[in-house]
This record gives sequence, C-alpha cells and structure tokens, in this order.
Amino acid sequence: MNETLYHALDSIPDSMLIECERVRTAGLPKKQEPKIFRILEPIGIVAMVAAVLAVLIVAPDFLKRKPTGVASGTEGTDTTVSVTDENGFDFTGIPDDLKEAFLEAYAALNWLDEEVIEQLNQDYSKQMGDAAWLGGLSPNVKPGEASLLGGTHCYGVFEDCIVILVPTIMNAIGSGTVAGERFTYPTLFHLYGYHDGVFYSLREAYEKGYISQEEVALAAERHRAVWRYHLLLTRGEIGPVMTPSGPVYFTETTEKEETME
Amino acid sequence: MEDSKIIELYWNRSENAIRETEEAYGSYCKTIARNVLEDDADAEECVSDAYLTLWNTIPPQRPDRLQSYLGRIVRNGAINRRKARSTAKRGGGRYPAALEELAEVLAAKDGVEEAFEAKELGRKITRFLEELPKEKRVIFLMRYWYCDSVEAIAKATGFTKSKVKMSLLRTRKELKEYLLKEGIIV
Repeated sequence: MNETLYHALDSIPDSMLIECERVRTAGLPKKQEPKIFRILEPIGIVAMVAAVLAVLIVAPDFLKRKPTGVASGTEGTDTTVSVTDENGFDFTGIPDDLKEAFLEAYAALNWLDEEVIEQLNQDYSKQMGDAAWLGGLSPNVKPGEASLLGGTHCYGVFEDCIVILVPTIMNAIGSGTVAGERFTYPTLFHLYGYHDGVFYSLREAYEKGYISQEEVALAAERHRAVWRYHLLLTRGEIGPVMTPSGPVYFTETTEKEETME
Repeated sequence: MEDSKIIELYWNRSENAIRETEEAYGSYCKTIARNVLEDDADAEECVSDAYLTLWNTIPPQRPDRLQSYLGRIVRNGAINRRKARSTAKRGGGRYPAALEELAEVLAAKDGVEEAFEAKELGRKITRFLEELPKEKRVIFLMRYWYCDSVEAIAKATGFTKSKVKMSLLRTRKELKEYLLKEGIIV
C-alpha cells in the first residue's frame, strides 16, 4: 500500500506544488478585507483623531486623576475600576493563591479553535447521540468561579490523539488510571482519546497506540493543575457544582474508585 | 538565476550548473530530504545524489519548472534511501511518519485493491485535491508531499498547531470517503 501511495503522490501536478511552495516560503496571502471596511478605514482614523482631540481639550481634569489600583474600591466620586490581566481576567477580590492556581490551570488546558470544536462536536454527536455537546472547550471562564471546571477540558492535542475530559454525573468523585497515571475529578467523567474522528476511552486509545505513555503523563500533569485549582477553590471541602441533592463534600482522600468508560 | 538559464547550463554541460542549482534550490532540497530522512548527513548525501541525477537527466530532459522537477528527484531519493536504511536495520522498509499517517487512512479495512495502479490513485487524489479549498490543499501537500512537520506547517500558514492537525484529520476523512465513493477502497 505504501508503495502505491508513495507513487500516487508522486504524480501530484506541478501547479499544486508551486502553490504549496509559495505558502512554504511566503505564507498564506492575507484575506482582503471587504470593500466596505476599506472605505470606512480612513473615516475611522479621522474619527479616532477627533476623539483624542476632544478628550484632550474637553476633559483635561479626567486625565489628571490618579490611577486607581487593583481592587482599589472607590476614591471620592470615582467608580471602582476593574483591573484585568493580559487575558482579560478580572482578579478583583481573588486571593493571590487562587489567582495563581487559576492561571496555572488555565495555562494547562488546551483551548481549541472554533473550527476544531465544531468538528469534535460533530463527531461526538454522531457517536454519542444528537443531544451530546462538548461545552467548555473555549476559554469562556471566570477566575474564582467553578466555570473553569464545569465544562469539557482538552488536555492536549497530540500527534495522533486529542485528550478530552467530559464531566458527567456531578455528585460523585471520579477517578481512574491510564498508563499508570491517575486522573481524579470532582465529578464522574469520561476521559477520551479522540483519534481520526472517533472518541475512544483514553485507555483504549493508549492500548491501540494512538497516544504514548509520555503524552498520557503530560495530559495527567495538566489535569492535576486543574484539580489543584479545584481543591483550592473549594478549600478541599465542598464541591463547586451543586445538584438538587445538595453540596458534595470531598477531599482527595475520600475519592471513590470509578471505572472510566 | 532563472530556471531557464540554469537548465541551459546543464544543456551546455557547464560546471556552473550544479553550483547555480545549489544556490537557487539548495535549502529547498535540504528541507525536503531532512523532513523525510530525519538525519542531516543522510540529507546532504541525498541532495548531492539529486544534483547528480539532474546532471544525468538534463539533457535530454528540459523540465518546465526546475524546482518541482528537482523536488521530485530529492523526495524520491530520500524515500528510497530511508526505506533502504530501515530495511537494513530492521528487515522491513519504513516510510516517513507523514506517509504512514496517510496510509492508515487509505488502507481502510481491506486496503486498496492490489491491482489498482498508483497512477490511477494519483489521478483520483489529484482530482480530490483540486476540489479542496486552497488552505486545506496546501496543508495536505505540505504534510504528505513535503513531509513537513505540523509545527512547520503552522508556522508557514499562521494557523495554530491544533487547527493544522484538525485540517489534516478532516482532509484524510474526506479523502477516505471520496475513495470509498469512487470504489478504490472497499
């Protein structure tokens, strides 16, 4: 097969190779903006200059005010100013340790492009049923809240496998081991290895060779960062996700073993 | 120097021909060879062999486009060299990871019919690629013709690695469906 395939690819026409070579050396050409934007652009520049001039002339007092600091509350008649970091997160009122844990967990997760999420959702729905939906794979999160933990997580886009955790039943702790790496989570969950359009259990994906031991270890390390944030957020006592049956109390040592499907 | 002038040098049996080729396409050739062979020394040798092949084939050949012509020689040479290298080591030829990745899709359950000619498969793949949007086609060829890494493709296209991987995954799926529809894989 390889022989046939190799020779088959050899007959790709020059025109396609030329097109490809252009991108390899100069990148993809930038998409041209719609005409309306090109017309509006000079108007926008003029408007911006006018706005800056208006601020300088009309509101000099505003510019002389002292800047307010992080979570500075109110000063005189000033309104409280929210301070956001480079990711746009507002850490006002968030303790430093929680902030650090949040950023660590946030950095550990793979936030996927819309196109990728759309494809994953299509394949997930096809396999799991129409109602299935992988929420939470894009970074719509708020520090200090459980939303980071509430949705689906991606722990890595590896060569042959994308690792996805999907929380399921909320009032139980889930845990399981894949390739010697333990995964524990404040809900029951499915841990998938997505390969070639199919969601396998991560264990199966590992057994089939779609993901290596090192990649599972990396995914587990990322998972632990999320888990640490969760523990800190809840101070190790109360689960962030409430169900009609009430809050779930847990610590790392009270987890019960669940087999991951 | 323009391709036509370099080709003239070969036709005139000028010693400058190879030097000019090296200057114009040396790095292009080395990238292809390195992608396939994953070994610098092997890649160097492979490129030198390719220049020799060029010298021996022009004349009588007069390629329309020297770069593609040379690229094909380098790719062929590199894949054969890699196959020979791994055959000697492990008793079985191995192809670059990118080709193995694609073969997995094409092999399907029962594989391509043995009698099916590579040329016909090539025609089908070409037709399939013609229908693809440019971005997807370029990503596909960078991976499976040039054997570029996902990182290199992401860098060249400005896409994220996950987008590149997903594009490859989708295209492989679509190709598989196309070949199934065409009755090439069963």
